Amino acid sequence: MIRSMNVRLISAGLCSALILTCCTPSPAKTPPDTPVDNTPDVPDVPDVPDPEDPNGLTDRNPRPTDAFGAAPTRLRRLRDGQYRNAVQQLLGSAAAAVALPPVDVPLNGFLAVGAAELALSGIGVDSYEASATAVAAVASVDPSSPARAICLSADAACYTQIVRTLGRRAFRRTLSDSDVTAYAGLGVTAANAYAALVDQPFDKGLEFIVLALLQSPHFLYIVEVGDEAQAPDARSLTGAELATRLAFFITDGPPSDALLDAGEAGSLSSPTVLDATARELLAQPEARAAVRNAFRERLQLLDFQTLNRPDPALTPSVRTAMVEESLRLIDDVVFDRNSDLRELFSTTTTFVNDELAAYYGFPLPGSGAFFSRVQTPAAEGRAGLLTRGAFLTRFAHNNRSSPTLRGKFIRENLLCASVPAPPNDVTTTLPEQIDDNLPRTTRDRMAAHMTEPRCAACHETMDPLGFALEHYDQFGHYRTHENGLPIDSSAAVDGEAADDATGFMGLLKNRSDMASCLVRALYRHGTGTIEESGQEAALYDVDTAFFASGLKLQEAMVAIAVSDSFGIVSLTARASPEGEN
Amino acid sequence: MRHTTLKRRTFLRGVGGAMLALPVLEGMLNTDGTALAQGRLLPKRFGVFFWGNGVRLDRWVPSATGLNYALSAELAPLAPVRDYINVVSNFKVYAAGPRGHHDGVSGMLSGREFIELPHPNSNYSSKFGGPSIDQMLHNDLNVGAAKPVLNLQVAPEIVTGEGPTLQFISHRGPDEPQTPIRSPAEVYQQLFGSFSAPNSNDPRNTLRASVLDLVKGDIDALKPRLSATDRQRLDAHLTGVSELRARIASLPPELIGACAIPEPITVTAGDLRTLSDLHADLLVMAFACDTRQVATVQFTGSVGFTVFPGAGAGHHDLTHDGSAESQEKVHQATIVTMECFSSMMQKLRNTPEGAGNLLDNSLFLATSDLSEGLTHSVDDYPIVLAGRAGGAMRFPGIHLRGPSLLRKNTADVLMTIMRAMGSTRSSIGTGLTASSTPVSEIMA
Repeated sequence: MIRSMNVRLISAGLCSALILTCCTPSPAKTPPDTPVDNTPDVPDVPDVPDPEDPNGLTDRNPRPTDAFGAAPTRLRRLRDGQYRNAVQQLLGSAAAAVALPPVDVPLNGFLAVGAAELALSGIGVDSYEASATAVAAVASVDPSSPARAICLSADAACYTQIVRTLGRRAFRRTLSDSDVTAYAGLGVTAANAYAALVDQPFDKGLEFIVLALLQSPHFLYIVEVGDEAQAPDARSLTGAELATRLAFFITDGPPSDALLDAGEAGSLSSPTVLDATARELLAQPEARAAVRNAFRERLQLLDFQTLNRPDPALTPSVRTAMVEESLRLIDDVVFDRNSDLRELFSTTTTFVNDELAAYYGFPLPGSGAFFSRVQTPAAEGRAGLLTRGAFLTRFAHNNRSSPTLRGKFIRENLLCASVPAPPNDVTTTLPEQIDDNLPRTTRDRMAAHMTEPRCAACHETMDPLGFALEHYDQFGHYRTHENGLPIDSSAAVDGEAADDATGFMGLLKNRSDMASCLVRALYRHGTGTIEESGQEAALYDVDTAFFASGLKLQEAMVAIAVSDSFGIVSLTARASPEGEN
Repeated sequence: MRHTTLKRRTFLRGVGGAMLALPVLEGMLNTDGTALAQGRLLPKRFGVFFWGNGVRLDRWVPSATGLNYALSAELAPLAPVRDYINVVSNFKVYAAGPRGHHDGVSGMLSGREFIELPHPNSNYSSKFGGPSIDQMLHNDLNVGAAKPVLNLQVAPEIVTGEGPTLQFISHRGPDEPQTPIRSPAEVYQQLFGSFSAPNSNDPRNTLRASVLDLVKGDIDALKPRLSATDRQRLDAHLTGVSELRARIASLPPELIGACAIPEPITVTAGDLRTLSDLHADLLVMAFACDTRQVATVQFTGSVGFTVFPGAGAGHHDLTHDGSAESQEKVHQATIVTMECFSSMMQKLRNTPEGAGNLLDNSLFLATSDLSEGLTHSVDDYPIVLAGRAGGAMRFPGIHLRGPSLLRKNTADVLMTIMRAMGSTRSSIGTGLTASSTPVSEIMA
């Protein structure tokens, strides 16, 4: 447990006399869109293994004894990225470039949960129609569109063929004959309506078929009804549904024709095949993009460009580079090196281009716009993702750092605890401010929360965690002083204390509850449901596999994919409080 | 009815199949200018103007009551329309819930307590308790699918991390928050971009309607195979489909009265005042042309971190900083907010309709997510009602201060709105936050 912290401190000490690129080979120059040189740098010093617990994780709770219960499945509206990827796969890049779906709404911290629980807004229907209109206009005339690669005559036979092929990809299942007749009929009607008006009535028929497919609930939602021969409270997903759930989980996109074939043929009911399929998907470039997107959402970086941070140096391109820095760290640990995920909380390696390095005040790597693998300056004590610019800037106010917001993120998103909204009728003024105009640090100001019992109950769960990051301001810069006073970065989490970010991250990263919270986050993201007691034992087993792998994220994803908690669903509604309408 | 309308309608039937009713004023006004020639009253319009983080009560509540009260500092921007304003104070959101902001916004706008989501191992989130006042009115008044509630957003800083209660102000139900539009270009497209050209031989709109019919068929066929909650969600989706279909089938509004279709707008963003004014202009035309009857304006968000001009820090942060300097900035933010609201009301008042103006036939509820940001209180709620609602509201308006011992319920104000707008429902909301008693003092 705590022994790992000492190791981390030693590790930091080793590098303390060196700066920036001391531990790396000369920086590789690669364009921003491609991975950098993947040669591993000097690895983090591994934690001393505990013979009882080779992973060095804190003790786990016993395996839950609740009987398995399937999690409720809901229609899940495709999220932004999923929608674009589905359009891309169906109609090609030119069409995908003009796709513009309505905004996603998070619930319980997850866009996937919002997509599964909230209804489409009235205006969302308009947005989908507008998006489909733009996409269909391009796809119906783009010579390289897959939609034009089937046949090109304005008759029922051709449109039938098109609908069978495109429709199966769009709906992620083989269409019924009546579906085919309806959509092909629309194509014929449209071609006829335009016959006297345009030179290529076929294009118009195709355009309206695409317009309809892209507005169908079978395209817009991931539809799961399971094996309808089974009881509604515990149904296996059909083969096509499992293929679809798996593909969207791992690649953020629909299944390929081949995967759908395998699903419809029943092959995925074999755990071995399912396991191998998940691994194949993870080997695809789309999986990298999907994991990047998942972390971009978890780190709440989707609106990073428009965040109100009044620093002229924080230009749009610096913001882009900051996000890229964090996502490259993830790509590096999860895919390039398929390494222990805990490195994300300890690593002193980072990825910067010249502009971002200049912004941070690091020596320039000399790679221009290209990202280089470098070491953060040892004196700054940066340790992992939460000490990089994107997180630090995101979780702050526009005029100061915020131990509360940072601590709240750790508590809610890394430790899976709920922090309630503040109560009513509390004077939230920090009392010290009224007395005098003496300079204070943010930490000093926050300490006042602890003197008011009604504030303290909540703030105690957040602020002491966030204090670990007080050496980094609201723009991601390192500081030794604030308002002329020295920074105190001593922090604590649930009774364990640390002096600084490195020490604190050492505590955090070896908590088994953080590792299992990560599994739950993946599960929620992939299924759109918050796990309940019925799935806890199955997810405990996922944790076990994840821990045994040495905390490799890809292994957690495979373990989720083959878990009953993923493949068996309930069609009965969750018992949750609802207002009367 | 005039022959041109009849001809257009006939035309549409021929080309478009089952086209829907027209959202246009159907004829000339009567001689009084209070009703259409066929005896139907001019439509009453309703709007919500919402801002986050409350007010400074010491600068908000007027010191005197009754008719000739002096406007307070924060209400002073409303001086140009003061006759149209009724201010009520010392009304309370009677929610038992313990959560600032959540209580206020759901209680004030729906008469229901918010629903806390039951997941202790994930981020705190809540949903609205039920439909919001704008959606209830749209439903009660049978405004119809072709004229859905127009939801507008001004400030971009909206808190998305605690669920739909804080993120949205218009809700058709707990699972049905309505996304507002912020881009004026998109608002324009919504309001004026989708009509069928009366003399076009372009089959596009007919085919768009056919596409939506196909979509509806898919949804209808899918519903029985799903859980009850999903069926309800698909019903919401179908409502959107029928609204879009109705608009596609609609003819452009007739250019009678003040209705004039504005030049297309390409602006997509802007600062608070710019956006608020552009939205106000579009809102006026939506009302004048009768393409909308109900609207909401989310000026700033609940818990919003909007940085007001010159404030230097986010609004929510400032409210929680008790220093005189920060509290002065909170005060200035409310003044900017009321200036924008006043500008919107003045535009309505300056638009003639019948014998009067649009504000005579409108009613706006201007309110927030709590009373004072500093304390998260919901006891003395900031509430302004603007407009005469076709003569149903007291004019010139008064300041009514409720009793301090047993505070009145904010849902009474919702009930007042229902009555003034012509809804026949006998009560609103549920439980502690329900009401069946309108505030008669501020009604005509």
